[in-house]
Amino acid sequence: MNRVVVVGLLLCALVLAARARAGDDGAEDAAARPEIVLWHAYRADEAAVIEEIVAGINASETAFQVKVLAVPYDAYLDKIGAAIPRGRGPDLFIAAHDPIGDWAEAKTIQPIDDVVDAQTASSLVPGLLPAVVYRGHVYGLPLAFKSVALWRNPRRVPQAPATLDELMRVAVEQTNAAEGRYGFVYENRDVYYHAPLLFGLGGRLFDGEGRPALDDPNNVASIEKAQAINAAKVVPQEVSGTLLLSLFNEDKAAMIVTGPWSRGEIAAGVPFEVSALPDVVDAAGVRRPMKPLLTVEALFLSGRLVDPARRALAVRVARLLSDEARSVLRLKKARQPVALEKAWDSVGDDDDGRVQRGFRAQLDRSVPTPNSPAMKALWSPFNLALGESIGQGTPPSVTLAQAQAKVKGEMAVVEHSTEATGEGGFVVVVGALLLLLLGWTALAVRKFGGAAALLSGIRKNGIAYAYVAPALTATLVLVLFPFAVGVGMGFFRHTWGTYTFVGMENFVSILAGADSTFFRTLGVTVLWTASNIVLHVSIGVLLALILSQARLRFRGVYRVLFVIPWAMPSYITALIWKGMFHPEFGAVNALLGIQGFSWMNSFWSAFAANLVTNTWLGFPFMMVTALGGLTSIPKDLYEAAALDGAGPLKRFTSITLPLLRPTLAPAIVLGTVWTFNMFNVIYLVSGGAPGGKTDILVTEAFRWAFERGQGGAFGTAAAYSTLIFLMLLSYNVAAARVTRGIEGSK
Amino acid sequence: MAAISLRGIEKRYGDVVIVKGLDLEIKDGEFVVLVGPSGCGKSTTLRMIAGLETISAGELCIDGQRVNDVAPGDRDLAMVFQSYALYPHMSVRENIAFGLVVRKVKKAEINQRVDDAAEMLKLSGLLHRKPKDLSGGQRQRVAMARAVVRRPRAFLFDEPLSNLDAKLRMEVRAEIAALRRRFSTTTVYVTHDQVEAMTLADRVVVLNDGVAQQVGTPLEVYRRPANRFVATFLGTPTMNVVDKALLKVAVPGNALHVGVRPHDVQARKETAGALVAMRVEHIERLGQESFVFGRVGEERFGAVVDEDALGVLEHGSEVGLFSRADRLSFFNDKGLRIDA
Ligand SMILES: Nc1ncnc2c1ncn2[C@@H]1O[C@H](COP(=O)(O)OP(=O)(O)OP(=O)(O)O)[C@@H](O)[C@H]1O
Ligand SMILES: [Mg+2]
Repeated sequence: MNRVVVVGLLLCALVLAARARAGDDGAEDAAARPEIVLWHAYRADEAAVIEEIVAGINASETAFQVKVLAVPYDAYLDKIGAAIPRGRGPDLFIAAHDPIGDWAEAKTIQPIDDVVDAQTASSLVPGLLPAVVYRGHVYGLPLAFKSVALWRNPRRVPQAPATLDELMRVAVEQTNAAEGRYGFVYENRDVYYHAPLLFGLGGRLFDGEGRPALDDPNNVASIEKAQAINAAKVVPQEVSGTLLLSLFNEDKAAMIVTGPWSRGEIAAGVPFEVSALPDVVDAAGVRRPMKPLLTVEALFLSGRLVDPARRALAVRVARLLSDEARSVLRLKKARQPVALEKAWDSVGDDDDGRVQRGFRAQLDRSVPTPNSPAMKALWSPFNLALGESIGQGTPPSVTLAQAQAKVKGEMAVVEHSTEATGEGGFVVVVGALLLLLLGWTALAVRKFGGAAALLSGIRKNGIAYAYVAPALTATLVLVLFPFAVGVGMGFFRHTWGTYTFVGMENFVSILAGADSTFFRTLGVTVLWTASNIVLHVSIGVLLALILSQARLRFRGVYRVLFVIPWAMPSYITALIWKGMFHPEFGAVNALLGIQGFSWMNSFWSAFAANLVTNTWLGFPFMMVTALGGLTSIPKDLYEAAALDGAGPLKRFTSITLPLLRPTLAPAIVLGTVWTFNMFNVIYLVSGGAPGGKTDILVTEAFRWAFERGQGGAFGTAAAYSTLIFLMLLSYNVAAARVTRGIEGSK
Repeated sequence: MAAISLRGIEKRYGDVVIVKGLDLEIKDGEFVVLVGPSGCGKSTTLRMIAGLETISAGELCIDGQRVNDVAPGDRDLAMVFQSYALYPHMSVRENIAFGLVVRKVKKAEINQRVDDAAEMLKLSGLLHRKPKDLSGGQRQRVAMARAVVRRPRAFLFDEPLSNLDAKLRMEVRAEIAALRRRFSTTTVYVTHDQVEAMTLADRVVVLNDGVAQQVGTPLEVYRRPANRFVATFLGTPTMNVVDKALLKVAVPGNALHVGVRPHDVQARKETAGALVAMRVEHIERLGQESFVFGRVGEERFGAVVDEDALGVLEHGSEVGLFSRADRLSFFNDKGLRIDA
């Protein structure tokens, strides 16, 4: 009992300490030097240089301290979006410019026109400033810029090609399918890497009024060009960043398209040159440069940084970070193409210098990535269109028209404007849900015999309750509360940190919306779940039958081997299978003896790839369960049946199956729920390909939350999740009935 | 109905020989009981007949046909297991009908036969129940009904009564005897309970260590045990076997030991003319009869005593032991029976 009290007190102390810390985060400590918090997501050399620079600043400055926090790249944008509005974020952070629109709308960042004055602006490499301007205000202080450029192996391609035609001539020469060598490798299903062709052929993402213009005829032409490159087979199928670099490192790719971030991954001794992408000539004979999307890395000031003195300090840090000496340091040591023009004077003619100048040359022929919030909604539909046209050869006019419709539809859902009720409304709904839960608890208490009975029960079984208390608390905090929040969120629309109460609208637009995505996805989900369960159970039971044979030798060894797929983290398995399904380098095609069959190009083959992967993951559970069930079937039943004249098949159907059912039924219910919500496999293996057709409800919910712009359609995603929950709940209730029926008959 | 013959049947597990060259001719309609101590190979023998164990050597014929390699289902035998082996997920009716369903008997006939069997075994009211809702005796009867309904060529029983309490055992034993009278189907019955053996069998096979010690009618085996093992295995209290020198009796030939059942020895007050005199160490009064036990030489020795006639005996009393000459068995140095 004492120990319980001690643990409880400790927990309280921890919580209080955490609160206290959170409390003084914002407050200024008059005694100590003020601390300016800087976040970045750099890794390796770039991170080291930032640390070095900040150490130098802290050593020389006496008025303040800079505290650096390196945040993992994958979580970076989410962290920024979540932390700053709640006053827990940095004063200053370094990030790519493309979310500026989202951030400016959500006031995550603030305009810094006063910092980037005319003098500062003119000190920058030309072409960067437009990237950091949103609605007429400058929001970021450019530090560096990044874009893809053409990398070539000078032994294979001594001269940088001047036009795409010339490039293709060389590429075809350098391609040798038998040796696995390719002339021109780029990620041709990714809009980011397709952009040079798009802009080179006069295409565009938005029209003059900032509306999406995916179906622009020049965009169509650009994809047709990409199809032609693909048809020339100078590029392998389903290129990924890893594949591209490993081909280049093995001297199997003569030219590749990638950015400065790949520098560190080029193997020692592999020669390479970087230059601007060539020109391309369109059907009308107009020659234009291929222009990649430009990303500007800039310093941003937190929107919460309002105290003038503190802001002045942050601005001072920003200036220090971007001054000439430190820019040179970043250029030389971190190999960043830096934004400060003067720093480029120091670029020499060594290898590094030539590479840097290659990227600099590309800068002059690039298009800043649009920073409007609508951009985020564009990526995924455009990628799907590109994938379908490249993968299945569907005419780009068709796929782009679909993409355009999709973007418009999604933006309509997300952009719907209603009067904001603010976070207050959200709290109300979540509160109501919690009250509902509480009321339900009260009912349960009454059933128990009222509060008095409960209290005396608690007193009598004090120790038991004390033991249960931590688990109960954890369940409340980790399960029930988030659950209530999740359900509540379904009644709101979320845009850039503000929640607007919309009642049932999310549900209505999902269930009764113009497109029947929900029902189609539900169909796929049901098919997915059913086919998985059938395979898992039949393979699991079959293996269990084999493993339970007394005559089998090394049974223990097999048993362990078969359980391994289960023991591995599922996302690792999913990634391995994705690799194995690669059309050219994957083991599956190699084993089947087929060349270049692309599994992700049609619904059924992509579905099959997902299915195989998830079956690999799922059968061990069923096998182990079935093994347990089999060992509990008395041997003499089989003997009695044998004497009754039942052959092996009859014995299986009349003895084994019915007696396995009580063991298997709960496993099947569990397996169904897991499979219904199997995010990892769908997201990682097919990724919804082709064109989102293999997506299931959970991945669809995820895409609404994180891949469709406007700072996340959390409301729609939450409504999806609630619907999924309701479906699984009714399934469970029904299954429990049936199972009880089976057990009752045992 | 069938005759079953076992010729030199052997069972080996690796190097261990469990059943050692068993010869046995079971006549059509005969009820044969296999008895023997635990682990002597009774079940193994029965299971070889059923086809549940392979036969390592020798020949098994049913009705003159070699069936060593015939599948259990094709031998047309029915077996009742010690554990009953009822199908837990089927009702009593389905359990009984299973063998007929598998053999694709017509539905109407199945129902008829199941009802008959159920009636015979007093199961009519229980047909819809699941085995778990039955008592031990009822389960046992379902197992028997399942065997009976098939009208097999022979019944095989493996200690069918050992899970029942004493009273039920007697009842079911009577039922088995009744069944047997009604169908006169060839039956092989394994038990280590000698009462079952004596009461049910046409012939008893006493097995020890995988070897048949004696085959004969219950009375033969009881009265004229072929060797010391059979003599002491059957009958309670155990037969007295003592060195011939200790008894005043004429022994034939090279006999070394004399055996006599306690039931055949009377204890009296006088010692004159007795086989031997003995000091009473222990008295067992069973109500119907009483036994006195003492020692002859080093061996424990028992005898019946009529206390009504004799007056109450006390520990330490000296009694004289008397027996009819034809109730004595003689065994040679190898423990084999010597006849006078
Ligand atoms: N699979 C096996 N491997 C090795 N030895 C076995 C195997 N099965 C049975 N035995 C041995 O064979 C011998 C005979 O077994 P069996 O079951 O026939 O005895 P039983 O006479 O029926 O005994 P009980 O009266 O205890 O049922 C036993 O010693 C047993 O240990
Ligand atoms: Mg046995």
